[in-house]
Amino acid sequence: MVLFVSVFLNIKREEGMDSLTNSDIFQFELLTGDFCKKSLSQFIDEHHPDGNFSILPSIIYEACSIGIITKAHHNASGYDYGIWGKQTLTSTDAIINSLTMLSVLASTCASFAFLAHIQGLAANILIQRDIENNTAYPFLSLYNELLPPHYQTVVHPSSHAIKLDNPFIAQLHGYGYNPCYAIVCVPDTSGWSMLYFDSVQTILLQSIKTHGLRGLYYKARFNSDITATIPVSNHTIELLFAFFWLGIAAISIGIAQSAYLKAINYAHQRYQRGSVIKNIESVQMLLGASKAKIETAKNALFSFTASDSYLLLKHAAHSKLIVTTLCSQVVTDCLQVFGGYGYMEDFGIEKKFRDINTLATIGGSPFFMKQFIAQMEMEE
Amino acid sequence: MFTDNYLSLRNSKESLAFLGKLLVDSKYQSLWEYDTKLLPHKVQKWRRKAKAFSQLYIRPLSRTVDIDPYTFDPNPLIQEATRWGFQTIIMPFPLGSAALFPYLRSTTLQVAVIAEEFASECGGLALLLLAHHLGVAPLLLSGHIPTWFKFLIPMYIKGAWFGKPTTMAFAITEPDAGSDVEDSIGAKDAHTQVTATPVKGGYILNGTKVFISDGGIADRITVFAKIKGQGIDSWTCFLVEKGMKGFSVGRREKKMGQRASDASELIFDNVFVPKRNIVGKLKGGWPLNQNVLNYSRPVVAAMALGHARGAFERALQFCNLHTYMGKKLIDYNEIQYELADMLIKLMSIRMTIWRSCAHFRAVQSLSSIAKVYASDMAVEVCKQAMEIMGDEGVAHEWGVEKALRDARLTQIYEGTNQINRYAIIEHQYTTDVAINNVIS
Repeated sequence: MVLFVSVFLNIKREEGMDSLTNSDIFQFELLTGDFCKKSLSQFIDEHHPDGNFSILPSIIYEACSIGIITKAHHNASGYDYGIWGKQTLTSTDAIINSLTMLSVLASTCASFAFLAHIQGLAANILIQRDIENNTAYPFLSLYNELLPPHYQTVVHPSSHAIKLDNPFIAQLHGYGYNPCYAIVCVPDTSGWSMLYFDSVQTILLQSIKTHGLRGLYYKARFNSDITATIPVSNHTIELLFAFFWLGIAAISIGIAQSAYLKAINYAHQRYQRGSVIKNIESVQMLLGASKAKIETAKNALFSFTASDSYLLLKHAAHSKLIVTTLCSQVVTDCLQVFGGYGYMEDFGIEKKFRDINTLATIGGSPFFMKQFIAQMEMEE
Repeated sequence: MFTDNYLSLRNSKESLAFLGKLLVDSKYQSLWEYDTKLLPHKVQKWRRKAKAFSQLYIRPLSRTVDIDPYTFDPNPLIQEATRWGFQTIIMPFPLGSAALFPYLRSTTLQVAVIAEEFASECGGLALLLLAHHLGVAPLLLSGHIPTWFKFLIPMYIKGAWFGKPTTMAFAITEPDAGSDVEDSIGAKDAHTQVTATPVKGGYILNGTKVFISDGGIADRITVFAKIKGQGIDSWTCFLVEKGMKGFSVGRREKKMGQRASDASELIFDNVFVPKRNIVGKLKGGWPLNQNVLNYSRPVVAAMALGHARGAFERALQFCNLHTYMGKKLIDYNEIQYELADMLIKLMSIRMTIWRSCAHFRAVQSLSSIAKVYASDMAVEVCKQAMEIMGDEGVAHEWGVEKALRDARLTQIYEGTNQINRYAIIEHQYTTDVAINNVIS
C-alpha cells in the first residue's frame, strides 16, 4: 500500500498544484478506508474502548508514510495532499479531500481522526511560516482563557490581548498526544502571535480526563519565560479556525455515518415485539430521521466554494454549529435503537455518543457559535 | 448586579403601603426551598435529610467512583443509607420508614424526592441505593400479607434497629427480551428464556438475566420467570437468595454512565426455589411487573431531574467563578438567558413528576409521561450546561459531562422512551378513545 501511495503522490506532485479531480479525491477516500480496515481498526478493542494508546505511534507512523497525516517537512508524503496539507491553502478540492479523509477516519475512530486533524492544522501553520518539522505528535492551542473563541477573539484579536511575557499562562487548553512539539496561537496587542516549541521541555502538560476523545486533551503551563513569538496574520488565523471547525464537522459526519450503519445492522438482527426491530415503526422513525440529518449535514458541510478566508470562516462557523448539532442528534437516536446494549461499551456506540458531544462542545459550543455568527453578520 | 438594583421589587417595596409590603415576596430563599415548602411536612423533612446525606456521603465519592467503579466497596454507603432510613422508605411503618400520612396520599412521592437529591450528586451511587427499592417493590405490591411478614418486616427491623442492610434487586431483562417485557403489546411475542420447572416443593429456575442493577451485590433478587412450556402470561415472581445452589453472578457490564452501580448478568443453572419464595400468586408475575414499572418510572424521572439539576448547579457555580474579558460569566446576558432556560426546564420537570406522584396509586400514563419528559429534558439541560462551560464542560473535573452520561441512561431503562410512549397511548386508548367510541 505504501508503495502504491508513494507512486500516486509523486504523480500528483509532477502534475502540479491544484489538480485534484473527483477521481483523485475518491482514490484518497479509498486509501483512507483501506488504512482504517487494516491498521486503525486495531486501535480500538474490547479492552481499550477509547483506543490502545500504546500502539498509536506505529499507526501514526503508517498514516504519515502513506500521506494521510501531514508533516511540515517538504519530503513528507502528506506535505501536499495530506489532511490540511499545503494544497489546502490554495485549492478548494484539497480542502474537500481533507474533509473526506477525516470523515472516513472518524467512522473507525474519532480520536485518531481528531489527532490527524490537529496535526494537520499544526503542520499547516508551520508550512505557511516555512518552518520545517518532521514529527507528528503535536500539542495545539488556538486560543486563550477559558472559553471558546468569540468573534472579538478571532477577528479583532488586539482587543483581547494577553501578556506574553508572563512566565505562566494558566488555564491554557489544547489538544494533542505525547507532544513532541507545541504550537500556541494567542492574540496580542498587534494581532495574533504564535508560540512555537520544538520540544516539550518548556511546556508542562497535564492530561485532562474528558467526556469523549479521551487522551487528547491537555491543560498547559509554560515553565519558562516566553521570549520568542512569531507574528501570524489574521488571514492565517481565520484560515486556521475555518479548517478547525470544518474538520470537526467532517469528523462529526464520520461518527454519525458509522453510528447509523451500526444501528441499521443492529435493527436487522435484534428481535423484539415479535419481529426484527427494523419493522418496528418507532425504530424506523429514528433511523429515517437519522438518515435525513446525515444527508443534510453532508450538504451543509460540502457546499462551500469560497477560497476567501473570511468567507470560509463564515461557512465553517455555520457548519460547526449545524453539522455537529445534527450529527449529535443522529448518534443519540442511533444509540436509542440499541436500547440497553447501546449504553454498554461492547457495541462501541457509547463512545460515538461521547465523542460527538465532545466535538459539538469544544472549540465553540453551539451556544457560542450562535453568538459568533450573529456578530459576524452584524459587523457586515 | 441584581441584588443592588434599586428598581427590583424587593428593594423598591418600601414605597408601598403596609399591607402592600406584606404581599411582596421578599424572602432571600432559593427555589429549592420554595419547592420544598410545597411538600407535606414529613416529606419536607425527608427532602432536607436526603440533601444533607447526599452532600455528606455521596458527593465525596462521586468522581472517584465514576473513574474506578470496580474497586469500590458499596457496603459502607448502603449501611449508612440504611441507618438514615433511606433503604426502607418505599414502605410506611411498620414495614418501612416512610411517613404514613403522606404515603396514603402518594406511594411514590417520598422515594421520588430522595431520588432527585441523590442523583443531583451522583447518578451511579443514586442508582446503587435506589435499585434496591425496585427489588423490594414486587414484595410490597404483591399485597401478599404472609410475604410482608416473612420478608419485609424482618428486613426493616434488621436495617432500622440493627443497622444491617439487606440489599435487593429486580430482574426482568433477558438477553433476547429487553423492552419487550416492559409493554403489554410486545410482551405477547417476547422471547423470554428464563423458565421455572415445577418440582416437588418448589421450582427449578434456568436461564440468564442481564443488566440487573445491584445484581452483583444483592442479597435477594426478585426474578421473573415463565413456567416451562407456557407463555409470558405464566410469568411468576420468585425470590432468589444469594447463596442458593446454582445461582451465580456473571459479567459486570461496562457502562457509559451511572458507573458506580453495577449492571450484572445473573445466571440460573438449575436453581431450586421453594414454593414459599413465590412472590404473590403463581402466574401473577406479569401484572406485578407492569405495576412495579409504573411505580418506578416517576422515580427514574426524579433521577433524571437530579442529574439535570446537578449539571445546572455546577454550571451556575462555574459561571460565578470564572471571568471572560474581565467580567464574570454570570454577568453576561446571554449566559443568564441560557441559565434561566435551564431552570425553566428543571421546574417543569419537577412539576410533572410531582403531579404524576399526586395519586395514591401509580397511574400508567402519568408515570410514563413523567419518565419520558424528565429524561428527554434532563439530557437537554445537561447539554446546555456543557455548552455554556465551553471546553471546560467536557472535562471530568466539573462533573457536568458525567451528568450527561448519567442522564442518558434514564432515556433507556425502565422501558425506552419509545416503549413508554406506547404505554402512554395504551392508557389513552383504553380510556378516552374507548369512551368516545361508546358515545359515537
